[in-house]
Amino acid sequence: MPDTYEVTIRKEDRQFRLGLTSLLRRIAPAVILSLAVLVAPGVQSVLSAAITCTDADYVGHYAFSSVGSLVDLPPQGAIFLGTISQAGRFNPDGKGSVPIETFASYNGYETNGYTPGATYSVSPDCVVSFNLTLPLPLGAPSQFTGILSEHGTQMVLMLTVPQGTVIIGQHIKQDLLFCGLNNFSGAFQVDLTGTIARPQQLSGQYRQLGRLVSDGDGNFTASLITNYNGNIVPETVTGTYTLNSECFLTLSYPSVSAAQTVSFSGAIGGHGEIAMVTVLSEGWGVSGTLRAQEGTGGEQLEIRQ
Amino acid sequence: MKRLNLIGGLAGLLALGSCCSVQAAISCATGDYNGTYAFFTTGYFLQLPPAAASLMGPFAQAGTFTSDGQGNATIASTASYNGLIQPANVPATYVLNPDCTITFSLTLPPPLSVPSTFQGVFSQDNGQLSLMITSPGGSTVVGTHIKQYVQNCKLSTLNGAYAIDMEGSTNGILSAAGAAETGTFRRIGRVIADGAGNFTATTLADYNGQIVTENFNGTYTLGTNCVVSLIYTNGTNPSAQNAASRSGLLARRGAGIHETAGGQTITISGPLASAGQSAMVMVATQGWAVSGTLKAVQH
Repeated sequence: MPDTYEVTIRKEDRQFRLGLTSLLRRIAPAVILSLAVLVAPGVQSVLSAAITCTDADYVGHYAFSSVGSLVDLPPQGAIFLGTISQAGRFNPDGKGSVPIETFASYNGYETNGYTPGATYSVSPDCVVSFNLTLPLPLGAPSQFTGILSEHGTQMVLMLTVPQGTVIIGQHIKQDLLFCGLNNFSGAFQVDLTGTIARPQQLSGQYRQLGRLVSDGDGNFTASLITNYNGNIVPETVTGTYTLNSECFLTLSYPSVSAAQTVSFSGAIGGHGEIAMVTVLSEGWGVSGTLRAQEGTGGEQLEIRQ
Repeated sequence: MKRLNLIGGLAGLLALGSCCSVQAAISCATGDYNGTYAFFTTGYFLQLPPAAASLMGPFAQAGTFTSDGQGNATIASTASYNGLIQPANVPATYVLNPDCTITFSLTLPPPLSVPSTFQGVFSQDNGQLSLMITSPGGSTVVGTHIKQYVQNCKLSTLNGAYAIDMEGSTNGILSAAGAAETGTFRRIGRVIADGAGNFTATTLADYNGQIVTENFNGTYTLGTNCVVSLIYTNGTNPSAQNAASRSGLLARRGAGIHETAGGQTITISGPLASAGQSAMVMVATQGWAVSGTLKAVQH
């Protein structure tokens, strides 16, 4: 992909981010394998081999959010059938262990979870397989499969075992080690999606776009366009936020249209240019992103909602 | 998007406090929205006039918004209305506000053909836009737009490994086993393009909660307009046929990938975005309302 290499070199911010050492480490296999092309025919097999990953390539903290549906559960779990949304952080150690911290909503029932015993393996083609026991209230053995992209800084993830779910997660690497309030500062695009189960007057599909401006000191204003199952409601709100040292963000604001205080939480990704969040209000299964209006040049954070 | 100068920023700090100086730091003008943006859309039409009732249901779309930087745009796309595939090319006007929110006015393409308003918010230095249909009501349709920097594409522009990430719904897709598949759909996986018009794919598909391994291979085209189409025929992909009883049911068309369902050819097609690191695609085969992205694993 020659065009892409050109852009990577031109973008100064990306050069800083990747770092020369990292860049060389990533390019080296491709260079070696490109030389192999000259020796051995078979373009397709060379392309396949040109990208290799190991467990060590998946390390650090990854902010994530997910949204989907539980469509088939055992009778004792029937109350949780419906929408599911989550946000939080995967913390792979580069050696096969990945503790997971989550805020989750199962059909509108909110819960916090910590899964210390999850394990993973990364195949040479950069596919990540996870094994874990789902946190309560589900508590069932499960498997996730993820595909890394963008040099291992992003991943899309599907819950594959047990069957009966339609859940996709989006992950982005966290480049900050410690956070303070001012790591969430400036103007952000709000982009949330999901379903509201309760209250009945709000129930149905949910989408929200908007612009949120944080003062870097725990306060924000936002102009929001909220879509409640096809009904469009514009709203301007003010609220407060916290951002702890581990880069977990929580925002709250009183919403007239929802007739309640809406709170959402999640983890900061990148250098603070994105937050992956989920709404914590009882009855809501909504998650999404806050993306900085400035920075990153539109190439790093193509997160699908 | 422009930063105000330092003097202005300091004046803002002195006069208005840190809150407002942050707000003043970002500004957009009409000319800042200029060029081509690749996009895909997903959502639902929940209410439509009786004459269009058959189009209610899941919606997916992929294509381009091209702006002249002076308030005018052209939208070229392929859309799926509840599985009915329709190409469209419509003009629009837009107003870009100083806070980098944008409002489009246009008449929706046939078969809807009604005046409409889209509203959106830019991020990432105007490189990314999220956009919602806000008028008429009755839909939950949101699009994701990424600026396109690549031009004059050729087959070799799509080369290497890409993560595939698509979602939506299927409406009566006939599986290889003859079952009608209707419900939520997701696919993730890995596509490898050889830069010469051939690709292989290893994927996981989720049909309303049933996870199936589906591997397939096919061919792709990539025109100078940077629209890629991947095409495959289910019946010629033994790995897909053997993966599960429903292996024959995928057919993709849109941003360049064709899938074949039950003997059909399936196309996945859409434009490249950024400098070619990603593509915004949809399945352009009847019965599918599925869209998403291909994103380079490495670039």
